[in-house]
Amino acid sequence: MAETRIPERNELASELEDPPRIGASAFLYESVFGLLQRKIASGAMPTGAVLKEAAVAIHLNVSRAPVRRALAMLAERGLLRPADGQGYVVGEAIPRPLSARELHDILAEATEDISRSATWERIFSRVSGEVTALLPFGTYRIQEAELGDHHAVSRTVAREVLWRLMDVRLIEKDRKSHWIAAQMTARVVRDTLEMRRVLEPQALANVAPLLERSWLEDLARRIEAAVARFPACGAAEIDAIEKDMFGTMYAGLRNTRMLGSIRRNQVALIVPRLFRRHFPVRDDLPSLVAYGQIVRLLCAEALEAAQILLRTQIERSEPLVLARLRVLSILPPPATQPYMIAVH
Amino acid sequence: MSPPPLRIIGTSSTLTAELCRAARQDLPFPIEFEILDGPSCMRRGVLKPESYDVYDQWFYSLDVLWTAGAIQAIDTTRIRRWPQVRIAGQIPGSAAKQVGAPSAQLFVRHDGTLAERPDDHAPPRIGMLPTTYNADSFGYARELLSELAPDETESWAWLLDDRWHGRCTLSLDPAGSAVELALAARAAGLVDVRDPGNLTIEEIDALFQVLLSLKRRGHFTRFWGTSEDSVALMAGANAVIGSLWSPAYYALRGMGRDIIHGAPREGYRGWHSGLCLSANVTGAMRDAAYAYLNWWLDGTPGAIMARQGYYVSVVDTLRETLSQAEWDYWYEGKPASEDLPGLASTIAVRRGETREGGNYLNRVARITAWSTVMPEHNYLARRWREFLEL
Repeated sequence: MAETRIPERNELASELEDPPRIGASAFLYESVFGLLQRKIASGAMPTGAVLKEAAVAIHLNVSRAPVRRALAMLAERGLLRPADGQGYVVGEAIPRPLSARELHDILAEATEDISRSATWERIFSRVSGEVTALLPFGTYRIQEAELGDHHAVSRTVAREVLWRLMDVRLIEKDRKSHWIAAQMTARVVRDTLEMRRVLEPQALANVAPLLERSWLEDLARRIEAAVARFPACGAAEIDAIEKDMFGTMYAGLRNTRMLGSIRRNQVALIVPRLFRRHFPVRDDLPSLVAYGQIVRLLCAEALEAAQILLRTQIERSEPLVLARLRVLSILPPPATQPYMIAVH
Repeated sequence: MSPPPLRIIGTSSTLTAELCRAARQDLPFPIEFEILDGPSCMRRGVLKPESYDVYDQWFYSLDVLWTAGAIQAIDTTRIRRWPQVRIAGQIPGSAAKQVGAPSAQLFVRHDGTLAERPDDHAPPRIGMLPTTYNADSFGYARELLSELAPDETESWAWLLDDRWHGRCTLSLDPAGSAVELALAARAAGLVDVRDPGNLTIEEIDALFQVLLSLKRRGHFTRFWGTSEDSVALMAGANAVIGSLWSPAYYALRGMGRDIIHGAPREGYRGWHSGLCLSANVTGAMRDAAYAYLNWWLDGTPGAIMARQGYYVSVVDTLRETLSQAEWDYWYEGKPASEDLPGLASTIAVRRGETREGGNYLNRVARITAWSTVMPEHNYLARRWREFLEL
């Protein structure tokens, strides 16, 4: 076969960068920005202090790129001003270079915090996308050290990422303590949909009083617009709607155990999402119509009807998800990442 | 300038040299045939509907192509002989007990789903036009008979039997082979299998535990990709038993090989072929595609398929294209009243021979499982790769 509609490895992975949300800021520069903003606000970082990219990067133990971006953002917000030579000056006061010792004392306590949590967050979404893209095609072993090398992070950080992926059931540990991304089978689809039928109607009841009316109305309008334009609404819009329907919708659940179970059982949502990347949007209309009805019922505070419709919708989606998984199963498997090894 | 050709993709089981020649001769437009192996053909069908106008393959690819949006519904009012079409001998949409997989998703409903029955009050639309089909089993060298127990009858279990260790061959395509091996392992009492056409994860694991161990011990000789490969294998010294399609069996007979086609006591593995219209074909090219579909039911292709052991969905027209002796042997299961031609002007059947398993309705009634892309196909495919690569 000369060419296919299968995207290349990287394309496939980046298209799928839409992992279950963990934590707030996913980017290192945001963490650096937040940290410096707090230090300035509290006065720990005095006005007049000259901040240079390289020095801050060294003391925070991160690379220069995120620091550059964080400094630029602080300057945009008026917290810093460009210095005459290099770097920025805090506030309006007369520039005063800080000694390495001073800078260290101001930033040191935060180092541990930033360099670890933010780094795993930074690569989590990419790794999650890379792993997810391969799930329909086989079972893979993930090598911790190679994962670290591939994404230029320490093995500790790589392990942190893998633990997080295990939290959302994208991977597991086998008896030999290897990290395994197990193949998405028809059974996984059926079992997780069964769990969702049990869990999500209850979750809907729990969060319904907390959902903002304006958010619901807005979502309903978006769904109706997609229905009206279908299939011209496009795959990305359907993905976004499903993310709101099944992700954002439950984000306010106080029962974090229930929320965790729901997240873990939503793994089959990647099947339609992957499918829509490769094939024309055609069979998603009945689902969209049902989503619209569910949200309208929530707007009208007809909770029981919304629950019934949600349960029915999850049930009805099964044949199509299975049929789509079967289609994916005959495609040539995409190339693996260097840190993933196909396991028979 | 000549118009662009009608582009047809399929496998060598149906797109034989005779069939391609006859189509070009009978139809008033140029035709381009592209012959692929089974899995590549299905992949191509799914991924590149713009690269063909007509897709010719097995029924189990129907819901895969349909789900992928690669094909369009066929309007049965444009199929002249639609009222005469039978799926493996049964009226489409009738409560056909013996017909399992092929008719289960024939019709396109108004909501765009595939179903066993058509919508009421509208001319039926179908996803695939049923054409040719067969009940398959395995072939074995006559010399094996000397090793059988006195009351032993043909069984799929023979594929796994130690008596012909190292001399068994199978198809590379798991859609048929997995079903056959599940039948074999069940018949041999090695694995509990509820439905060989819909294996569970546990059944697949249990089956492959047996198969991997057999392969490690060298039970299987080479596997074959095309029917022609299987002929070469069975004609050589290495294989004495193996999964064998009818054309290969009759080709081997034509070469004078003393091969017996089994009628296993557990029943046959069935398959059914059909034709689909690419989602992309429109206008004059779609008219040509319909003309090609109609031509398939007119008798000439049916006779070509019959001479390699296949049945077709419209039999009425065969009266004009098959001799009485041919009809009696191929369809009625009667002894050949004369030598019968096979493909490429060989003699496929000698006077006095009788086809195994009886007449076509008897053979079809004994189909116990169909070739299929089962729900756990992606898991099965992975275990299958492991098995082949061992």
